[in-house]
Amino acid sequence: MNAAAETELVEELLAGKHRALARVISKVENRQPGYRDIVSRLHEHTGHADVIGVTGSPGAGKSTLVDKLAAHYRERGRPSA
Amino acid sequence: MSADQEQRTIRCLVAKVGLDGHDRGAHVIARAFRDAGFEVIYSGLHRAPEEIVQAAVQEDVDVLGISILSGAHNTLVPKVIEGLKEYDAFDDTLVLVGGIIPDEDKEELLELGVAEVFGPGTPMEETVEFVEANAPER
Repeated sequence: MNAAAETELVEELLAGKHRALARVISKVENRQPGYRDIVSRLHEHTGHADVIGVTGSPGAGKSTLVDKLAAHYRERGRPSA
Repeated sequence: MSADQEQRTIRCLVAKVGLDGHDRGAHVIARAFRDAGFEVIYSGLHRAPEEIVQAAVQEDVDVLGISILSGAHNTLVPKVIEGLKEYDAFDDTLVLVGGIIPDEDKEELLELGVAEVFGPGTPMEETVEFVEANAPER
């Protein structure tokens, strides 16, 4: 894969295009030539997120809580995954 | 582009859309594609066009084969194609339709952007060769 196509893919991914994300995942999974460059270029855009861990007994409501939290954060305009 | 491009495995989504519940043909195609060395995902029965679009986009498939035997192709196929366009995935996805498609509808589907329509009795090699020859370059 040439550098120009790589740049385009990275830009599209950062713009939030699902297809570009899927393409990048395929490339990384298959270790296609150039995947390391893509990962290193994406790496600089990571690391700003707060990570919240949720733990508890089975059936306590972890998933329910996480769903509600994600919905709540999104409502406030904070992207969450 | 480069030599490694040719060795890339072709990824296919075999999809059943709508209420039609007969997937023997889709199964046969899925197995033939697998035997030809493609990576195959089968959607399962009764999918909505939107679900197929999501699967095709998220799985990053090269080929989308839609099997329709119910006669609803003129309603369902345009919806799938519109959805692919919405996600900028139409240009690099080879869309095929298989099943019972009357000749007079075939032209319309091809105009919409379906690459080929395969009817009953199509030899398996023909379909496989078509995919190998026409799978989009990446």
